[in-house]
Amino acid sequence: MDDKTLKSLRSDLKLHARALSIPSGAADDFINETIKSVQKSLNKKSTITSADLTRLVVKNLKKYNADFAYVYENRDTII
Amino acid sequence: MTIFASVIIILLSMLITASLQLVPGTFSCFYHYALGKTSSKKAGDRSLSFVLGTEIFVSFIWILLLITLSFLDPIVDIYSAPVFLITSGIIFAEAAAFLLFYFRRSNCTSLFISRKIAATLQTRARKASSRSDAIAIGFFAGLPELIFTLPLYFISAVILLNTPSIPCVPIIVFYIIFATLPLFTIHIAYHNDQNLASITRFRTKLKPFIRIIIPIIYATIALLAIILGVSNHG
Repeated sequence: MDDKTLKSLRSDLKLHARALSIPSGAADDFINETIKSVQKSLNKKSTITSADLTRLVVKNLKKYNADFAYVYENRDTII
Repeated sequence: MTIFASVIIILLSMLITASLQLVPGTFSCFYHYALGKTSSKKAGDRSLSFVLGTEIFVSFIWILLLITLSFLDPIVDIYSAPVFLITSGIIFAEAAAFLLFYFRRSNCTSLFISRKIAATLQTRARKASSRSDAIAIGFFAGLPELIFTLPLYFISAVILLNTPSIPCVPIIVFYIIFATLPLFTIHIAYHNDQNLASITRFRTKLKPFIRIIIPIIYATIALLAIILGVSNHG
């Protein structure tokens, strides 16, 4: 994953975590662990769609906070 | 009988306008992003500006319709059987369209509007950084849904203009406030530690009920409009 995507993903996740009133320390831990797991999964792949990236992120977020995972998964289908 | 039918039409139109999901969906996203960027007090203030924007939109539609119909009334008899029958035909078509197309097939609450418009609303809700942005989004969020609400506004305006026994201004003010009641409900939910996930899950649970009940209400309005049209002709 390139730096720009990583930065955008991290800021997006932080925004959602703050909106969901997840304490910032815990949120940072969730986000760091999620991004680590996603990068590990992406290690051998050269390209990935945004849907696949979302699926990977959601799969990892679900381990930490169900609401966080739900909001991130459905962020484009609420309206 | 005609007064009773007229009042019921207006009340049911209010109910449909308040039950449509585009503005509450946009509002809940807007509030969520505002909470992510600012304090809960500022997010609350901005959300009230959003509500104001929606109320301005509904007022604007009412004023536009009342002025247009007042100009047209001397030229064309708007309180006549053909007008009611055509309007009721359109409302019946809306009932069918709502049942078939209003909600997209998804596990969430995505609606009939094009994905580009939905993405634009989402982006504007996310980027809003001031009260004026909030008012603007509140105003424009209701625009794509005019296809489902304009005939309701129209028939309510025709009834109000031609039924002196129904007080026009209090009904319009009540209509405007009633249309934004769901937004106040969401605002209170956010204040009571609910979040976008719980609100969206609730709206998703409500989806099947809304999908059935709104077409029934549309059909009822259309039938009452036929009764009014026929009784005028008689």
